[in-house]
Amino acid sequence: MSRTPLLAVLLVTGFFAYITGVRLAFVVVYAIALVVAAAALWSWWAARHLRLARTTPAGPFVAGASFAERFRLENGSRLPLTVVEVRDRSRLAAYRPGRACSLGPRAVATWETEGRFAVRGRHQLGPTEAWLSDPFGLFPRAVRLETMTPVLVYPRLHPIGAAWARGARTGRDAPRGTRPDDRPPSVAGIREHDRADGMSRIHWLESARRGRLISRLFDADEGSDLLIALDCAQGIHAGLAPDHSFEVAVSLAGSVAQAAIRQGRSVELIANDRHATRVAAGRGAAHEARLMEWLALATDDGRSGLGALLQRHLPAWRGRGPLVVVTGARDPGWVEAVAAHSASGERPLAIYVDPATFGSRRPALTVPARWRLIVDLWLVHRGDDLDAVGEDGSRAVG
Amino acid sequence: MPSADPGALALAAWAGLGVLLAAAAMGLQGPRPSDRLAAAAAGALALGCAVAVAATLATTVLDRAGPEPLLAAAAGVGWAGVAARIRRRAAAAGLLLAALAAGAFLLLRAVPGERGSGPLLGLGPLLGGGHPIHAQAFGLELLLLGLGLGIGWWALRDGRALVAVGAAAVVCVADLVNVPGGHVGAASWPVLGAVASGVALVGWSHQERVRRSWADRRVPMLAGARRRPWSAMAAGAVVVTAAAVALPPLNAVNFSGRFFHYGPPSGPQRRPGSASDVVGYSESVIPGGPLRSIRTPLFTYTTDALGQLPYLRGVVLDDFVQGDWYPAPGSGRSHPPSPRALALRPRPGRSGTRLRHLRTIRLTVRPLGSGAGQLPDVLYPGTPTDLPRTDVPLIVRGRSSGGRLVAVTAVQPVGGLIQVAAGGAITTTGTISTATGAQLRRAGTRYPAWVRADAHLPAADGSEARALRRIAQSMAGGARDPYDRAIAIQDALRADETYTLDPPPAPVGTWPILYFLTTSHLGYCQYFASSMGALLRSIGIPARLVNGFGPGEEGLAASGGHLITAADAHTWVQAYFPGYGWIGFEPTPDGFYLPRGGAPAATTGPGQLRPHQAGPPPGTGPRGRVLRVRRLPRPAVPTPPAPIGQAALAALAVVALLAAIAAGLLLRAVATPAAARRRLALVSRVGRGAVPRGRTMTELAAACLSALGPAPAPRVAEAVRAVAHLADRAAFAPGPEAAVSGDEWRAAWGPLRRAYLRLLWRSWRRRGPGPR
Repeated sequence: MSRTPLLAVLLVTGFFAYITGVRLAFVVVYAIALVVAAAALWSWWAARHLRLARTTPAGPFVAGASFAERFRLENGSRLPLTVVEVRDRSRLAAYRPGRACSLGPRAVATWETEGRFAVRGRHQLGPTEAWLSDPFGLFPRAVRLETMTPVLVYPRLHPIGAAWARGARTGRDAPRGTRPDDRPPSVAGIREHDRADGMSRIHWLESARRGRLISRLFDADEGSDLLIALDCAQGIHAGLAPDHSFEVAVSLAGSVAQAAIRQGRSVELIANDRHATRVAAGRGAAHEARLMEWLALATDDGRSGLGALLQRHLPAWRGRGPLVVVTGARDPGWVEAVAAHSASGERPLAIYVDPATFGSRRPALTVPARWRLIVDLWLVHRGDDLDAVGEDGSRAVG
Repeated sequence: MPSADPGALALAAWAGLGVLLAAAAMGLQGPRPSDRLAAAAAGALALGCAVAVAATLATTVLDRAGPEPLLAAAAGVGWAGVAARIRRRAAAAGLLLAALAAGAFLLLRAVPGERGSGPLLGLGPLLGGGHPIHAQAFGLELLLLGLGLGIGWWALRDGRALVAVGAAAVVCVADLVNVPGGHVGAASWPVLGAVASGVALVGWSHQERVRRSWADRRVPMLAGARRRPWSAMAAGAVVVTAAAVALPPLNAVNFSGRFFHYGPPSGPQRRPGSASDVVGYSESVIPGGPLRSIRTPLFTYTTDALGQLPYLRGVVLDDFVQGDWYPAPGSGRSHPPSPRALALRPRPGRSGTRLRHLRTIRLTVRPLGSGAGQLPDVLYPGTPTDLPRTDVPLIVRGRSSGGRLVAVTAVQPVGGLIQVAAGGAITTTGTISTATGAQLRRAGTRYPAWVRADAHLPAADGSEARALRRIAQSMAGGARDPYDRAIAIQDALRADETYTLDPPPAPVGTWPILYFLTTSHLGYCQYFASSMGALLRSIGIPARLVNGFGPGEEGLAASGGHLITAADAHTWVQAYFPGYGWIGFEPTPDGFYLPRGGAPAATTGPGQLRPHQAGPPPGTGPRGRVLRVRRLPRPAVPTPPAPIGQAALAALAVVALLAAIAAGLLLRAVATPAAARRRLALVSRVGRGAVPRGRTMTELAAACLSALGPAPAPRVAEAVRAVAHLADRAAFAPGPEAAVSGDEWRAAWGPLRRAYLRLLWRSWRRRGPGPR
């Protein structure tokens, strides 16, 4: 923009100087022309010899985690650069690694920056641009470092431990005294026999081998599979990331999944997003990574309700293990689906992230009594300290 | 600026510099102490410039042009400063217009008569409302004032020193090319100072603006980034200026007359309003370019000098400034209209001494049509002795000594032009000397004090004055008394130089009379008279020039009087002889005018009476041409480029200028959602035909990209989407989120800036016949 009037001035003054032959007028014209030429050459030469390097972090991150980057800017020419600005085009919220500096001939500037991934998702670090100009500002140039490092940020996970398990219970130890499941319990281990142990707990084979009584350790819950149903229907959640109810729901779903997998369970995830995603049951680190990657990119763009999803999946799941529903829907359809397909004595855990507390126009949820009869309900509000749930989950689970 | 004066030229340069420095002082001050210190330093420098301007004016301009140029420049700076502090642009613009109008009123009333020459003389009548006196000076000063206002306002407001410097350069060059060649050198240092300062200021302003932008955007700065490279800026400015000085000019010949019709502003001069360079009457003598002689009848006259014809004297030029002659400012006394002639009693001789051998002659001038109305001076047959009967007040201008009028230099009507009713006449009387050569040889050199100032060249003329002295001594040969030396110089000029109306122009920076005497040896009466006057002064003989008309031709008018046409405008020389006054000499060998002191009449010449003759003397051809061979070979004269090349150059410049403006408008960064929509819609429309209304920016961006083919460049695609995103944000985001800064717009548009024309071109190529 600034070059146009200058070129116009050059043309006008040059024309009059030429037709009149005035020496001093030529001096003025030459000075303008020299400034333009010198600026163009300066800018071109400096940009040609400017080197920009950016060392970005590798590996997946969890939302809320911090990271560090290192930048190196080198002026390889013998011309000083009075103004250089490194601009980051990462579009990472609240992260501004750019710096302004002056570089002497053959000088190097390095700096490190720290940032934080505030929200989950796939982010990219870069491209990076070094903006420079000649001393007169006529020919600004940008040296662009096109390298873009993609970074996958998992949802933030909370140490909820076994809190979920206390809510999602199978019928075997159900407190309501309904008919117990006849499925044999899983043997989790062995221990020395205790007088209080019944005869049925004695592990006879091991007792014979050792020459003393050894009792079995049973753990019915920890041996079963876990189904997580995440409500991804659009129009349910509210708020602004990262303080968004869907983000909290995803975070809690991820936390439950991670806790279960690390307890050795097989975890399956279903969601009513646009693709009606189902991550088949599995266990181990690879499965955990698979679940986290999906959760990192999950979006609330589903067009069908959670009830329909459960209607489709629960019949096949019946008897395989506990169910955890993560939702913010007030529609009782999902509760009815749970009631219709739950085995006798099962009480699934429902984590209800109340959108009303995240800015939704709807009023806060008043839990119907029927819901309490069918599911164990964990009400999550905006501002709850989910990290403080702890292993027992006593503060948050109700 | 009245551009004939070196002081005015210096003013132009320094005023431009002052505007820039004031801009720096006021526009670049920031919250930090270092900024305020820099602003204070710049302000002090600007004040120093103003003092330098005032000093220059006091010594060279004020006695001639008045303080108006300084007031104009100061007003421009002051008004710009006030306007820059007004936040509302409409109010600021109104204030600027008011200032411009006030300045125009001031200048129209106060600027004195035009001097100098140049392209803007043609622009002057337009800017000056057609007023013949105020034309050039008014135009130039108004231009400078307007530019000062606009530039200062912009520079102060936006810190755009580059634009300010560019416009100041235009002003500086405009003034430089309008200054007579011999005066340009006087402004060298101010111009070089302005150039170096301007270059440094551009760099400084850029550095400041970038750092201010960093501070506003809160960009973290590494160590050393806050330091200003003052020394680098100063060194760069000096290097650029030195290189500009070292480069040779592309052209040294002034051929601007082919583009702008301004005449040589002297002796026979182009009259304001005429379309070409013709011989005519004027009030100053600055030898110029080629002339055409058009015998436009002006008036007839009768005289009581039986059998002999006088020269008709108009105005005396006794101020020699760098090779050119001007009327001295002197003093003026106004006389009310009078129904009768009033005696005019100057005391030209030494105290108590009367001039001898004078003869009084009466002259009656009768206008032809409106011809007489074009003369700004009352014509006399010799030294004026009375004031004519007129219906308008007259001003008598002359030289004073001891509070008394000692010499009349001009008698002018207050209204600027002589008004004579149809059929009327103006009768004047004057005296001419009848002294013989022998008497004048005995006159001696005891000059009156008021004449001694006319007996030498200004000391400032330096090398030119020395060159003139050498030439004069060479021409005078062994002559010892002033009269013989004057006759020798007159005869030498008549013998050695050639009369022509088509002399080559002098190179810029060279006095025309020196070029005439040493190189071209071609010229018309201005060249001859100017040269002789300067030569006489260089050897201590008081001399001055007179502008008026030659005797004309008798028997051509129906009334029987002698007809004077525009082609009779003439310039001649007078030298002072104690006891006899100013005696005329005729150095112009045009074949019509006869010299003083030579055959056939020993007493002919201007200021004397010329015998009637039926035609030119033997040995000469038609009037205006001398038919004899040059004694020396004519030197090579630099010729200007061919006219067709100039036309092509001008056309190319205009086309390039228009292209630059169009490209600037088309490629400038978008700054509003509407502008972004227009840009993207244009690409889409060119490639795909009509764009339905109501498309969102995202859809428009997608359409724009699809118009570019299946796989547009990733960078272009990203930039298009970024522009669309910003436009959406600016249009629909709530609260402060909608505030999109100029930097964000520029950053988004930047990648598209160079590609945009390519986008349009490729879209147009893909379009094919008819909309898709």
